[in-house]
Amino acid sequence: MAQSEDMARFLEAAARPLQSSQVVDADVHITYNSEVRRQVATYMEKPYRDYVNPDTSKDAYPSHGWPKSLGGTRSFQITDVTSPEDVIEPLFDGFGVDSAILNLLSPGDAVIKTERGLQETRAINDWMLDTMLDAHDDLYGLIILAGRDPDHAAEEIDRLADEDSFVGAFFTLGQEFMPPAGDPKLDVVYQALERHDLPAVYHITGLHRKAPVLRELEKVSAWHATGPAWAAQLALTSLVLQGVPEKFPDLEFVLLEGGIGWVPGWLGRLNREYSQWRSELPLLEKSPEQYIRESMYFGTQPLPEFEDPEHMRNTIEMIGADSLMFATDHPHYDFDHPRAMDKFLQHFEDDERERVLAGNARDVFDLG
Amino acid sequence: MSEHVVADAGEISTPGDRLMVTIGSRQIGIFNVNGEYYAYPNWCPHQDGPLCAGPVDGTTDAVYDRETLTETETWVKDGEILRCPWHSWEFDMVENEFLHDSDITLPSFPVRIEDDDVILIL
Ligand code: FES
Repeated sequence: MAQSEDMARFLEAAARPLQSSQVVDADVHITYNSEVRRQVATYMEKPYRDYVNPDTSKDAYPSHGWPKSLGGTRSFQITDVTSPEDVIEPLFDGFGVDSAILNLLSPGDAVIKTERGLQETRAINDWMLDTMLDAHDDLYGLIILAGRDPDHAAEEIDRLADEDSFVGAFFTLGQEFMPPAGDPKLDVVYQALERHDLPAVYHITGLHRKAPVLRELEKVSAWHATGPAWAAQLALTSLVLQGVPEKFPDLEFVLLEGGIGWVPGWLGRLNREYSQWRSELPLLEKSPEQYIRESMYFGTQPLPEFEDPEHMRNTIEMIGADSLMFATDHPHYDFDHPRAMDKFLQHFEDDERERVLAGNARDVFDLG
Repeated sequence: MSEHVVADAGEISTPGDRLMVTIGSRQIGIFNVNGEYYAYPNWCPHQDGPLCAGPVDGTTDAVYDRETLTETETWVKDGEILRCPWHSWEFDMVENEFLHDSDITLPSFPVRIEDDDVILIL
């Protein structure tokens, strides 16, 4: 259980759950703190269990990608999620969420030793299954992958795909050793996902390790506004222009925490690039926009905050209710409450509202 | 329909040859594509660029083998692709379609060689 004072404060703010609609939360983070690492380490062999266990690890643990020191006295975490109750109490009871898709921002593509990264992601998956997913029917999880070793990632999918509570696979973007999302060497992973009818899910991190210019921005807000959106744009662009949806037409893709305000502009931009550079993109049979509309989904968090609410309505219309998936990003400080999303859905048809809040996620993740 | 003698056949007898002709206010490009003749307006539907002034080239095609997970690119349609000189939209002169979006086509005009004349029918 997380710090009780934090939780009390958190729940106070969440006193009004969203009613009258099912809500699926596509992005809930397990906190990879000392307590969880200690448990994950028990699933590992020496020597790497000693690297992961905070009681035996001598060096500072590598961050999963955020330049934490920039945050000063504020934490990126509102509270910790280390047990099923840490999801059920604030999200199910507090926010009115009905089902949650859990992930963990693993350091698998950030740590220097490949073997340790692979063993650690594997142990995280085993721990997540035993500790979080088996505990509640409405808790689902994503198979955490290290993209640095695609064959291993494909094996990990094969190993866990039959577990009903694993409903997709999860890549952490922006880490040093994660290849671009559309890199052909990941095809073996996409092939495995298609074989098991599971979606590919991408979550941003800060990208500052791969784009050092972000460090020069000085302000946390400046870096936080750009890095994650860039990471999402890179993934989307790489996936589409490398032809991944053409190669694997049955696969579905979900981008989390990249925001959505930039998406309409990107549809138009990619279309234009395609029309002007088609000869270097010969695999594509359709426009980037068509591929994106057919197979890509965008987590709604962090919701853009325009001064004129009408502009949010336009944004949702341009992307389409069929392509959006509500996500809180709990327990991070920039989470969205379901009511914040729902406020913008009032002008839409009931079935469109339902799809954004729950239906798209239910279909893509094939929730029981 | 009106027929216009626009050139001597010798001026466009070799594959790859092209003629630009003006009839009234219309500019029309006539192309010898591997021995067949095609005529299109010198106009690009993208931003009104002078399409028929662009280079004639081939283009790449690709197939993906889902067993071996390999993409193979090949050079195809050599001499059949007219590339707009402004933003490089690729126009397939044989199929009358732009390669990035086959719904975009152009008005096309019949061309006939008779005796030693190139005759354009508008
Ligand atoms: S005007 Fe022809 S490609 Fe833009």
